[in-house]
Amino acid sequence: MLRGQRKQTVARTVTWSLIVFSIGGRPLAARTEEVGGIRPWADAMPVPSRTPSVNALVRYGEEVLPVFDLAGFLKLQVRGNAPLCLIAKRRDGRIVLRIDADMPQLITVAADTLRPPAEPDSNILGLCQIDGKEVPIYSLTNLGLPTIHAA
Amino acid sequence: MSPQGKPRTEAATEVVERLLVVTSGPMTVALTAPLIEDILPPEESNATVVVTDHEITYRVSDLARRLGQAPATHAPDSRVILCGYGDRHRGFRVDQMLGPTDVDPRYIHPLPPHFTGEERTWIKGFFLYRDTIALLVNPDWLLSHDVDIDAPGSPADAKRAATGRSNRQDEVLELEVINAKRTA
Repeated sequence: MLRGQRKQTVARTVTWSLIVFSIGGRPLAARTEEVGGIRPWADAMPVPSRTPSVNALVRYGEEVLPVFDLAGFLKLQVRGNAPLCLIAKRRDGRIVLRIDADMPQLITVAADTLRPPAEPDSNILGLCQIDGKEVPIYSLTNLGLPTIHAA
Repeated sequence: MSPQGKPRTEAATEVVERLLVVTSGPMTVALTAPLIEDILPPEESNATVVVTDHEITYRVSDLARRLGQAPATHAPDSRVILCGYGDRHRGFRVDQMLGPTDVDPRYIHPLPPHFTGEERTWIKGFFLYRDTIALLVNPDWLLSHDVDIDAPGSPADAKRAATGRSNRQDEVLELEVINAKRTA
């Protein structure tokens, strides 16, 4: 930068791209980069498990993925006769969520409009406003996992 | 019918795991064949809670309950499988036998790392079976408890069904081979 030249600041809005889906009719959101895809739900094989909320496997062809019971975690019931499968990119590998039959929507929100949750929750990145409703943005990367604290 | 045999059958360069696949409650479960000492015929598989077979007493319970699941409410093809491992003997009621199968051990996968609890001890792994997934139960764990609170009825009023070892040669289930050459 030449001496005397003033640094120009460009007002740039940081945005988050979100996928909005629902469980039990309640809208929930996740960052699109943390979603590996949406598929029709396939019958899951229950697995006896003591791992909280991880209690089944689901098969898609030759691929087998573990199931995170987000509906049970939130004490909700998945709605619709043809529920969908949302593939979450958790940090320990892909895991699937059973979600309502309503097709998820893609939206973009300005990062500076996000608010922190009323109570700290490592599963929630923040809250956004969609159609006048406050919608939690879930951290699929860390869903159900213990928080990692920086050393 | 008895699927007893070596835990692994070798044929030329092929090594396979011989398993019996059953349905139990909502699950498809595989048991290692060497664990199985006998399978009661259908007419002896219904009300039995204790079985004496060749002077060995087998306490019988639902496999689904052993695995923390509810058994099927209606299972007309229910069978009791008598299992033994060392000096431990137990019988398990299953909803339906799907048949013996040979599986290449390379196709038996451990549970995904997302499962971090005791289930890693209970389940040795899973494999693709027909259009579903079969869970391979760890035989050490399966027979590890002498007392099973899930057993239907109490030992005091248990109905004893004394049977001879059936070894029913007339009852043959088709052997399936998964990702390995047929060895039988």
